[in-house]
Amino acid sequence: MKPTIPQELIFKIFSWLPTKSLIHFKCIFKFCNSLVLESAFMGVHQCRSITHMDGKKFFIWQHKDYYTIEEKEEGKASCLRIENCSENLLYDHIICVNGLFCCSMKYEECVPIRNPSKKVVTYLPRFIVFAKIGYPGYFY
Amino acid sequence: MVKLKSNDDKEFEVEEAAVIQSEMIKNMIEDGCATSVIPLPNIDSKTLIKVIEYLNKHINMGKAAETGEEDDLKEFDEQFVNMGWEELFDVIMAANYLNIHELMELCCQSAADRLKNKSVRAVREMLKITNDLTEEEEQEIINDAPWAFEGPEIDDTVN
Repeated sequence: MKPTIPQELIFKIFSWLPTKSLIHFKCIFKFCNSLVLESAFMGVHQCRSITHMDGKKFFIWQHKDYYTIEEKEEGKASCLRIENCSENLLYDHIICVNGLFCCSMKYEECVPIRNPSKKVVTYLPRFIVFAKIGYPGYFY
Repeated sequence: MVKLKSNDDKEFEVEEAAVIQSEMIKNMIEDGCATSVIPLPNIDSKTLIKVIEYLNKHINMGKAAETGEEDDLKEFDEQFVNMGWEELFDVIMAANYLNIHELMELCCQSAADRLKNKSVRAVREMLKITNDLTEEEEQEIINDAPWAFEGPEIDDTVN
């Protein structure tokens, strides 16, 4: 009888999985269900998603829905719909940092930060737009 | 040379430069605990041979960048992970025990590639996990994100 896999190994292997598989595998056992929401794991996973050649993420908008695109090989990509994120808005600016997407409208006062892996949207505090400067920049 | 002994009592001689890619053995050598044979009670000889093959190939990894042998190394890595699931699983357990970072990354990535489209049942079997969720809890997770449980790519085989 082979020993059961230690949880740290599940962490290490799962950090290479695409988001859809991670959500699917929440059903495997309790540890996986909580792992996916653990911030240490999210950090490792998002970092890989950006740096790992198989996991380059893009954020696109089409037919009222938002998608993340994970580039697999050259010319091939998998598409993942982000639920609860279907407002019919065309954003002026979309910036992606560490797997988070910051999208904003020119005159929108609160800038939303979207996390497609967790499907959570957080709003930045209101900022003041200085007319002379024009469009505010992003700092991260 | 450093001598390693597998759990089925076979001894292997490995160059020190190769074996110190294992953080665990490197620490043992630095602490002066590796004077004779290092016993590895968690690793069988078949798995240890694979690990040593990797260590020997990656011995001059720093030099590879200078001499343009990177492609060669990449090809070796691709061939290296081309093994059965059980074998790969054993190498991951050994790499984790010996603390060989690069080998861990390589094998975990390969394992994830094989697991990513598997069904929940198949993953449980492959990772030898017993389900501890109730049917209600499982259904709740599915209801939460039904899109993750659909798709023609989901594969129920376990290899």
